[in-house]
Amino acid sequence: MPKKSLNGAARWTGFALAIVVTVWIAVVTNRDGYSKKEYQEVVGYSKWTDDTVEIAKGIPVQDGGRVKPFETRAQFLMLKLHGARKMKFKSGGEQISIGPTEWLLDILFRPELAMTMPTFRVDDSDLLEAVGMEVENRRDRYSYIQLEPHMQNLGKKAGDLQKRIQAEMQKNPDYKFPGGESDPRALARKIMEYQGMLASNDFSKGVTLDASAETADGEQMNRVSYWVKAMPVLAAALRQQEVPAHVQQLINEVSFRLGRGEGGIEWLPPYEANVTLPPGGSATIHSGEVVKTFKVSCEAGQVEMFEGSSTMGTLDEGADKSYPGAELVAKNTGEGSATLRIQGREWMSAGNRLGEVSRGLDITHWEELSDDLKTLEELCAAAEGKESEFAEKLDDWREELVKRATVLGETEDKLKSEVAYYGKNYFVRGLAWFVLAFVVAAVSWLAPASGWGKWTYRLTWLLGGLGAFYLIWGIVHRCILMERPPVGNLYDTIPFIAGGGVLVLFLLEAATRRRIALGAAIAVGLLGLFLARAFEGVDAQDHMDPLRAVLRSNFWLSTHVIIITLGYSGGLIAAAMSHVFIYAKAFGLDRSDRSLSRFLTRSVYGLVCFTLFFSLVGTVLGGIWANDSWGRF
Amino acid sequence: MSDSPNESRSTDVDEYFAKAGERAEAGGKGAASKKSVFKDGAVVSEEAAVSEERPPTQPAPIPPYQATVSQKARPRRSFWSWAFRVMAGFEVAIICLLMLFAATFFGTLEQTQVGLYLTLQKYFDMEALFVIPELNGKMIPLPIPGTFWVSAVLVVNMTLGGLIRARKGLKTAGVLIAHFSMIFLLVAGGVSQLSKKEGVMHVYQGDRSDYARSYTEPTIEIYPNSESGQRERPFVIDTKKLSGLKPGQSLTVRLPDLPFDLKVTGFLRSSDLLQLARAKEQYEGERVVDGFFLKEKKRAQQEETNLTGCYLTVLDKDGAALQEMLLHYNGMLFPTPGTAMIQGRRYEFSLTRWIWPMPFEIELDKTLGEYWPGTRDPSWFQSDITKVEGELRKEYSIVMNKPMRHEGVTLYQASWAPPAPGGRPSSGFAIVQNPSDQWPKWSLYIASFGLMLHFGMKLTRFLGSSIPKKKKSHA
Amino acid sequence: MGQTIIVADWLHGSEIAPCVEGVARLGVPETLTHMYFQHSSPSGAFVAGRRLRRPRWAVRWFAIFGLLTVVSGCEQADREVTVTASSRRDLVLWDKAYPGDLKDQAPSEWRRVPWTQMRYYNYRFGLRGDGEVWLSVVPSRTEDSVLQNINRWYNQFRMPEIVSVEDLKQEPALGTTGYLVEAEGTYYGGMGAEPKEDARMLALAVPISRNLVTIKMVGSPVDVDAERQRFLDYCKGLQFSDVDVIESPEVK
Repeated sequence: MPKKSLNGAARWTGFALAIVVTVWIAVVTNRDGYSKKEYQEVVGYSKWTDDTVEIAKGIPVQDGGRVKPFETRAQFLMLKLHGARKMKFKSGGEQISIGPTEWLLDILFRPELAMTMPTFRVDDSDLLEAVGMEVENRRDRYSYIQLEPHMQNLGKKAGDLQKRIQAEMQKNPDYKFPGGESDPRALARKIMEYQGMLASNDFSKGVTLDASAETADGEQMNRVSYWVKAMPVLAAALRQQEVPAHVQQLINEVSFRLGRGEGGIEWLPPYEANVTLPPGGSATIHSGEVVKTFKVSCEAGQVEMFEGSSTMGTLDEGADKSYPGAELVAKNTGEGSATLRIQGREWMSAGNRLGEVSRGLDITHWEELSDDLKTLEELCAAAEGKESEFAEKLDDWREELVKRATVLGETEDKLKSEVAYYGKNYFVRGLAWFVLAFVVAAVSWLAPASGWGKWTYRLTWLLGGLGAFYLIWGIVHRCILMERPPVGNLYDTIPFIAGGGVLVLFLLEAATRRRIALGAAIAVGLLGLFLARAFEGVDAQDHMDPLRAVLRSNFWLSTHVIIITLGYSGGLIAAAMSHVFIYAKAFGLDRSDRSLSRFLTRSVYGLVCFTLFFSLVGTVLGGIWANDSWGRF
Repeated sequence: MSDSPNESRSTDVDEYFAKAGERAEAGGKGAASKKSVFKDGAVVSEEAAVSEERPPTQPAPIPPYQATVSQKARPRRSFWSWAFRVMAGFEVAIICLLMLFAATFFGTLEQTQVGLYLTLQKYFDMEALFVIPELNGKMIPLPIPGTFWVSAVLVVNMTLGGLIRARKGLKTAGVLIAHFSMIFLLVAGGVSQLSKKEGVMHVYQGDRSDYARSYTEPTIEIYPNSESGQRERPFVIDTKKLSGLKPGQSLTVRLPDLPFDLKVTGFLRSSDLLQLARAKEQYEGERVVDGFFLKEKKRAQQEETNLTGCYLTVLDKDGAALQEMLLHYNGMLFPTPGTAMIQGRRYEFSLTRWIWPMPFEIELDKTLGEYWPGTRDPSWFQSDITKVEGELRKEYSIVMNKPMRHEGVTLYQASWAPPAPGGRPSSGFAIVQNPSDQWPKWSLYIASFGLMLHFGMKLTRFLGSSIPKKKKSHA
Repeated sequence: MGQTIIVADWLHGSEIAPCVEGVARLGVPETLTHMYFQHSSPSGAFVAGRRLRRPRWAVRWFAIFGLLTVVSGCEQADREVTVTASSRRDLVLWDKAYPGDLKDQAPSEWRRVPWTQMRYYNYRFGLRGDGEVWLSVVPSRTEDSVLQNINRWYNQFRMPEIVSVEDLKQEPALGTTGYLVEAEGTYYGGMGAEPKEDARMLALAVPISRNLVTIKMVGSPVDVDAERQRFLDYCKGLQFSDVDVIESPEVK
């Protein structure tokens, strides 16, 4: 076969393969992985307006150790339970697609409707069949209502398995659950988390009033917020056993209603306690099971702080300090009374806040909690009426929370910036530009020396540059939000490796102008972003959450982590160029271009040198970091 | 856009191609166009080119003047010369690196099954001459030399071949520096292996401590008691004698300064101490002493959690058994010895982890740990301590990633525990004494400099060869 | 003179020193190393086609490796070690630490046996070595926990319970006094232990702060009688010893 036609055949084959790969990536990225002939029906669904959704996105909530926008909380919860960032279903003959914010709004304010939505992705149908459910496909999505009849059975299986594993671990501390067996625990945990969220505003249903009880205002007295406000008086009466049985029952019902929402959304900021201690008096700040940190300000007098039996020092008038502890005690060591302001850091759900307030130091917290509950009750009531009123009340709630968050050191700008980050969807846009660039690059390979070949080359540069721009901008924006260097966990490494690889290959292309490095850069960018998106979906965790103590070192995050990640980039792009070499040799593309092999060999050699340097330095730096952290490599 | 084969090149690869081609042409036989320079039979010397018509496997004949020179220049090679050439050669380097790769590969896989401690001991200890990897309980028939010794050979090889024998010049400066740094790094590892000491010091807030305990190495200590019942300075049995001891083996301890000897039997690295009266269903015929027996447990991957036990027999100097006792390490912060009366004097026998007396005392004034709000993830650990050395008192603050270094001893914040109700928080300090502690850091600086120098030169040459080409193509 | 070949070293990218002879030769390496210092092929083809001229060395090396493998894998025999006074280490706070910060002074006739979570100090005594003495510390959660414990002891001997500790004899211990309890009969130790017939018990219950320290002696009547005074002296000799407390933290 003549060389020219072999070269041409090879080029066409390459082009075809490139198109197929690109299309496959584009398809896989956009579909949710489940082939469904029909979407599930959700009766009576009406979409939230854009205004409502935009307001809701910016509501501050706390999760994973930081305050974040409602939208972030929603999207990672949705990824965890639903496996995708969009939910599609039918309602009234219309196909509806909703995002995470709308979905979480439904859970909080329209729970009956939310229970009929196809929330739970189940990958293993054997698990559902084992609890007596009839299933059609191996992987599918189910609503809470569909799973509800089998939940008890599922819970029992999960509990039995947990006991079995614990018994095994008694005998063998390194016991690992065998991979092939069905594990109901993960699904059980997801359902429990969902139940907690569903019950977040359960208290808004109110309490059952006994017909014989006197009511000053019938509408008000059936609200939980009313009874929470009255709790200090009732508690005093309870101690003296003066409370009638039906009131006792009401109190129990209030606790029950709020208690159901303990696992709900954590959007009630901590209240500041004002405590006055007489001389010699002391106050205990309860933390619960986990050590918590409290900022204590001494307005007047002098106190000594203890934790358990250990002293933590003295706090003088006008001073403030943060104290972490499981059971802090402030003791007035002065001659006069001492006044303290105590501020916690934990945001809580309504249910958990009730428990905290009941053990708290400041009786006014009952009123503060009552006010918050009242706002939420009104919000829940408005959700059943006109949406414009609901949006207005939701915005008021958002503003209130933002104001309180600002007092605690959070800034509204940061919340807005995070909403904007997810709104801009940098990595998806970057992926789209890279896909386009790859198609154009493939076209340019057909006839590189021709006129349209040169124009497609320039266009490839432009599109690839846009892809790289989004990729890098996304990384930078994440850095700013996280207030730390760009790589802190496994997810962060993926776009960073892709970004590093793209930039180095761009530089190589600028120096050599052979089109090969440019094509490789686009392929690396495309595959990297695709992998990042896929990983985020599978992992379903918020990767912007703060790092553990041992990793909290900006110096090491900027040195070891960056350097070794660049080393990984180098290895990846050396591999990419080597693949080009293999492909060129296999299809004999170098026969009419003898210098191609030499160029590729030189380039790969250079990239391997780059990899060697960064990997070596990065690896040894990692060992030095480990040595600095705990004395061992 | 393609390179012209006639353009001058500046990279080494291209120089090679060029010169090889030139020589082939200089040979005048046009052999270069027919033969690949990579073939075995290819020759690159003038002599070899001249004799090109000979079969490739036959050596080229040496011209007379060359023969004279080579006869004079080729005395019978001595053993040392041969040894030097072998030890300085590429083959040894490649073999060493392959062995290190194999050891790292199998060690990494094996440690997921048996734990880090055992894997380090098996693959990296000085005592490990040869290693046979084991995965999923099955031996892999691939004996690998112990990493310590392979590294030692590699140090020799790199010194002889990478430093002494390598060409010296500006072009090789970066490589030589990098080689030196690698040798330095390997030597640091060797020094660490031979002389590193490490332990953990556990202190409650408000308490002090003047010793560290090994995480993993067992030891037996013998306390003579004074007449008032006070413990005197203990005799310590070297941990190395115990660490590899198997249950079926015995260790006889000769004590020339004491009126008895000891015999250690039934040594178990991971065991439970059970009372026969209360654990009848678990009893399977083990030796019972004082109503207790040791039950062997599966060794946990985390070696720190394995509780050692053994049977100890006190012997008189003739070897007759005087008393038998059972010793068990329980992880407590106080000795729990067994006792024996020998010749009217009481002795205590304690099985514990190796105790390392410190040259100073640490007072833990305050320790705190913070968690991220609403989570159980730690955000910060800090310990405020006072180091007391005789009359000298100095305060330090130890936090994660910022250890306290002092005269060769380093203290790290390794762990922290919140207080029990009504109790006190505590800190665990990892203490390490390692003369080569900072050497890897220095080695890295040197390596970075060397590699940057070398690769920088190469990059400059590469870019230099690319840019003129680009300018010409755009002209 | 043989020409020195300046070749590209694909690994080092530098000039390679000429071989010792000063002659650049290819194709007839006497050793593999020799080859490296004359010519190195970028594509790594040096490995292909090289014949081993001395296969015997390979056999020798493999034999040595094999032998070493076998030797290193062999089970080692019993060990012996000599420990002299040079191995003694200095005393540290570890050596002065005691269970529950309680230091005891046991008589030489008692032999200490393994510690358990319920028995801070655990001794054997008696002619047959089956007498037991042990010290426990339990939290004292209620006001009458002393009485409850004492009655539990009586129950172990199937003896009638008492209603008040006031009638019990008191003995000094730990800077205070404890309640002395005596019992005799078949001892039902519980927790799976076999009953012990014809046993006697002597025990002291010492309430300290929010804990109850108990010292208990169980054995044959002969053995217990013989050790009675030593038991009381032992209880009296108990002391708190918290040597690792920082002496004056307030000064700092």
